[in-house]
Amino acid sequence: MRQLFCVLLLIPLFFCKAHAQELTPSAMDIFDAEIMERGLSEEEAEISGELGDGVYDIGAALTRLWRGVFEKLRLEMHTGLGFALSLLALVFLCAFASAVCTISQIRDAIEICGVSTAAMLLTGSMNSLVSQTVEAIYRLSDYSKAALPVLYTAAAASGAVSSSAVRYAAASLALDVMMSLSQKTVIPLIYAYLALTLGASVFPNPLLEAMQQLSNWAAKTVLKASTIAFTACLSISSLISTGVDAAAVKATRTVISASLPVVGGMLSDASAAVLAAAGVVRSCTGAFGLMAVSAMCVGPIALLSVKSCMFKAVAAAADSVQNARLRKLFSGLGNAIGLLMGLLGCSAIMLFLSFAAGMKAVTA
Amino acid sequence: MSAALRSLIAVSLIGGAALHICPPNGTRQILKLLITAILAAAVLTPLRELDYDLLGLEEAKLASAEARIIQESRQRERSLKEQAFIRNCEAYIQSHAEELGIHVENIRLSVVRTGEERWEPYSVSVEVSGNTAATEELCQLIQTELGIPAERQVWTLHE
Repeated sequence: MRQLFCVLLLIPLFFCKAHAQELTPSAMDIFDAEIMERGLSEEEAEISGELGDGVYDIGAALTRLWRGVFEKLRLEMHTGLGFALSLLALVFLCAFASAVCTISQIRDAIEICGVSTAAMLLTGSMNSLVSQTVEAIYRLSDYSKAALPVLYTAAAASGAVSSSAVRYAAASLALDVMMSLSQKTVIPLIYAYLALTLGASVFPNPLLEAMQQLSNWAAKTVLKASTIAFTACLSISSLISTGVDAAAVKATRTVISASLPVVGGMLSDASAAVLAAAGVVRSCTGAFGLMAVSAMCVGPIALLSVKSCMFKAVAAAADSVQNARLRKLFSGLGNAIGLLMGLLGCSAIMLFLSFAAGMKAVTA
Repeated sequence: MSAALRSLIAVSLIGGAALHICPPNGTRQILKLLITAILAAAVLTPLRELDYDLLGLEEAKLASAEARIIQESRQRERSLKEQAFIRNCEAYIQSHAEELGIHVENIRLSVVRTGEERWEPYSVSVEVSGNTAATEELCQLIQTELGIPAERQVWTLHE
């Protein structure tokens, strides 16, 4: 009898949960969760999957992501191999010509011709890489403007009103500032680094090399500083606002339950169901957002990684044939691509942190 | 950006060529200083041209961004709560109908807002079939427990 009584007492708990599950599809519609799926290309949508009615299979999405990464790497290596072989051919041709020639001024001229040829071949390609990286960053920014409000609105509805609003404001402020910084500061610094790399390769000179190092250092410092500042901004705003929400939600629940009869009990249950459903929407949209950002970065990161490795390999080949000019050029180009990867990586990390902060907002 | 890149490349190549050609004397030192200044200006100009007003503008947007999120979440939460409340009431009617042995085919309940986040049941439309003997009792229950008077209850009996 006692056991039956305990079971009867526990039944309302299951009643609440079932309602939350029934409410989740409506919650997904009300919070416009489908916005998260818009703006993704076919490939990205295939990796991210579908949000569904509050059930997001993140394990399967991760598997598709890894598969996508390896597939992209394979494709880029296949595409880049021909280009790498042509650069290697140039390196070995210059090495052969230098070896055959006995006069040092002509050897210098051969090396300068080699560097100029490589530069002419690569300028267009480097410009294209920079454009693709900038485009990827703009896509991330546009996606964040659409997706973050959905996540943070759901987080606010799940009980974290103050902290969600504050975190959203901090995240969008920091993202806008970072995008502006990258466009107006880091990209020009990378261009400066490329130009100085070319100059220092053609005419090896401590001055040009020092300027090259300065631009490299300036770009890295701006990236590091902006990422650290973003993380600090988000963390501090979270710490300040977190404590307010839990107390507010508990107080509201108590008032509703105590003052109304049967209908009041249903209102209280509805509030609890809404909190739970909004929490599910928050978790699903947050996880989906993380996958979507990863899917958007897969293509550009794979391209930049392969190009960077390719240039480093060709620089090593140039070093092996003692062609210092070509080694400097290719090594510098590899570093420039590393800076581009850093820029894209920092933007992606800030977006990850924004989504993670929204998912971890305190709830009732 | 291609124009900027080309001009930077031109500056570094010309500077490098000039230093390469210039014999090691006093002129070379002056040329070095000049090229250092030009290149440093070229490298650091982007930092100088940082939009320092941007931070102020973005900070001004902070308050409106916070208010927007709070307002949107409240609107959507209210809409969802209304739906959840309606479902709870319909489930309540359904469960009591089952207890009374009434087969309910469809329930449609409407609510009226009575406060900031409070609703009350206003009217209900119930479609029943099979044994409808206990419908009077269910009607009375709806009136007592949910506060919907008989005149706002619409009953459709299917054979």
